[in-house]
Amino acid sequence: MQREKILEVKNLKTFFNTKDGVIKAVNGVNFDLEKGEILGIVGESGAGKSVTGFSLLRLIDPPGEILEGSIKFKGQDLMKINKRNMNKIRGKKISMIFQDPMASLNPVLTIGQQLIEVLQFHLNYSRKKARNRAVELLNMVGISSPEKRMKHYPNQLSGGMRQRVVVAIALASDPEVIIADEPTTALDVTIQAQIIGLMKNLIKDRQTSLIFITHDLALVSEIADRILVMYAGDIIEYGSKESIISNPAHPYTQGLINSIPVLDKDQKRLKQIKGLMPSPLDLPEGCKFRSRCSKKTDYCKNNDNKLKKINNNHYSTCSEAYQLQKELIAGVG
Amino acid sequence: MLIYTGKRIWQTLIVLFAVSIIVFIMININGDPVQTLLPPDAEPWAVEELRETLGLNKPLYVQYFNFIKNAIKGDMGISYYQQVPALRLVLERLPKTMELAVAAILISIIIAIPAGMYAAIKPESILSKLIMFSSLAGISLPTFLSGILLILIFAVNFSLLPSSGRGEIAQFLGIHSSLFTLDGLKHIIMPAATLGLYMVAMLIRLVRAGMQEVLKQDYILFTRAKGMPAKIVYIRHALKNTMIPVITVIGLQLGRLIAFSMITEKIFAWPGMGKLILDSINRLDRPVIMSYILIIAVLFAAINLVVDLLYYYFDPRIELG
Ligand SMILES: Nc1ncnc2c1ncn2[C@@H]1O[C@H](COP(=O)(O)OP(=O)(O)O)[C@@H](O)[C@H]1O
Ligand SMILES: [Mg+2]
Repeated sequence: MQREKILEVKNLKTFFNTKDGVIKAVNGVNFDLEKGEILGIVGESGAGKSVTGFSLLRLIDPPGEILEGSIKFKGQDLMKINKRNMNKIRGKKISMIFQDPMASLNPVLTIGQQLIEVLQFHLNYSRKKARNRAVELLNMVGISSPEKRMKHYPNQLSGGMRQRVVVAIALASDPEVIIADEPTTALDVTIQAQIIGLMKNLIKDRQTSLIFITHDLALVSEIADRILVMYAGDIIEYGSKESIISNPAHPYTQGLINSIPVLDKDQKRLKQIKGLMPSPLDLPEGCKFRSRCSKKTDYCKNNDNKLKKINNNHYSTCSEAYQLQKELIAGVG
Repeated sequence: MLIYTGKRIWQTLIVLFAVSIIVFIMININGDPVQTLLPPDAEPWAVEELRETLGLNKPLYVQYFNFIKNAIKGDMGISYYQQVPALRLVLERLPKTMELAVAAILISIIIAIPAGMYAAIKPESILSKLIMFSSLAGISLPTFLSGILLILIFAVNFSLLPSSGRGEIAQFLGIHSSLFTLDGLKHIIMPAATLGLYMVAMLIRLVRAGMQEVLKQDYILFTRAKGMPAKIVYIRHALKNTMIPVITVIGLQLGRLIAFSMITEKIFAWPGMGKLILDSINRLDRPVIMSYILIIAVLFAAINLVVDLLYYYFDPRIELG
């Protein structure tokens, strides 16, 4: 069944012009997001996940710049609309949740003020109506005595509570897409599970699409429908969760999976991927992972980094995968 | 809150006590008032007699003790020179200096906050560079120079503004001030600008630095991700966070402006405390000097208290204690 495409991202390039050189943080990525789906973006720190998320809302400040690409939201290219209309997309149609709930709420405004302003601005609610709705929202995200909490400042709430408030703000105007950038990384494990459960429930009811950004493949495999693996500004693998977890094509994804701790296996040691991601200032030609790759061949330095089809639900840039595919076809033929 | 205020008042009293000792000692090192009050060829017995009436013949600690005893009663002695209670003399001048300082602060706030914010939000624009250059110039320019320059330009060359005195006074809400008449405003604008120039320049830099820091915070990005328009992002979210250091500086500067208004008052013949204290220092009029310093100390303490309470308003994270 083909579902409606909410977001279609084509050739998105976001670079930072620093005094040391150009950082190619997001280097021409393509993906789409379907209605009601949860898309996980994984990759190690510095892969360009957050920059991708911010680019979708055009929240890139100098020295950063979105150089090219189109971001189609329900057919409308967000790269082509003006500032005022962009503000009507942000927080209303597409909202965002950040990593650190301690830092994402303004310390000098109350929870209520920060929630009410969204309702007033995006939905034109009266003060009273916005207040009532804000209390409902706090209740919905599982905050006890919401009336009282409305008057509290962020520092009077625990980290988990604050992230619930942030979720309430993100959901306030019933958006179609939520981008959650490591929303639970700063929280401890039990709270993490609660917040994820909460988000999953809330978006399921509303058919909201979710882009879930994390460095944690285990976490994303619990929540996502499809997974997108990023490495040094590129999407290197992309497909359904099942296919990626059971059949990872890219050696990097394989490495990520091998480094997940498994409880019932007696692992002496986790297999971490050796080496470091290349400096974003000085990216090599061809496959960027090849210096760390145990399966590299001569082909790798000429890799065009385009996603190659493995099957209808699975794409990867790795030539290994490409070769495999060719052999399969040859075998069949 | 009440306990906090009480505690602060107690601290203030200790500070005042310390100040009184220091001032008392300094004044005694600083020459003999009898010499300046009497003609140089006065008879020795006349000198003795005057010493006795002024209480200057007693040992220092007795003099200090008497001074404190009277001070608690609000009696700072009689001005040697003008023969009226010294405290009253200073208090009469206080509102005039306050009015000048308040005008200076208002001018600086009105100019510095928008200018500093603009320079932080659009650091690359030409206007921002101009603002920052002017503020550097403003910090470097000494008061006497900027005052005289203003007089030259606006009073001498263009004859737009009067260069001395307070102008017409009107009463509003029980306060007499030249801020309430057009003529008064014309009189106050140049001295207030002179007095406030340094502060404008410094506040611009402070607001800009503070705002730049705040704009980097996650909650600002989050507010933008919420789709809030610039007005809400910058004024409601960013400015309130920037105000904490700004309030401190405004508070401390208000004290400084009052305490160091002498040069400006002298240049513009403004009949405030600053002019009085300059004259009194020349005449070694101890009761007036002591009264002046006492008032300044009390003012500083009061301003600090108000600043602390304002902090609390601007930053609910701060615990009073
Ligand atoms: N404001 C910025 N200025 C310069 N470089 C940046 C900025 N933001 C991100 N980058 C760079 O972009 C790359 C991708 O960053 P990011 O998207 O934050 O990674 P992550 O996948 O960990 O979220 C990194 O190399 C980072 O250094
Ligand atoms: Mg990140």
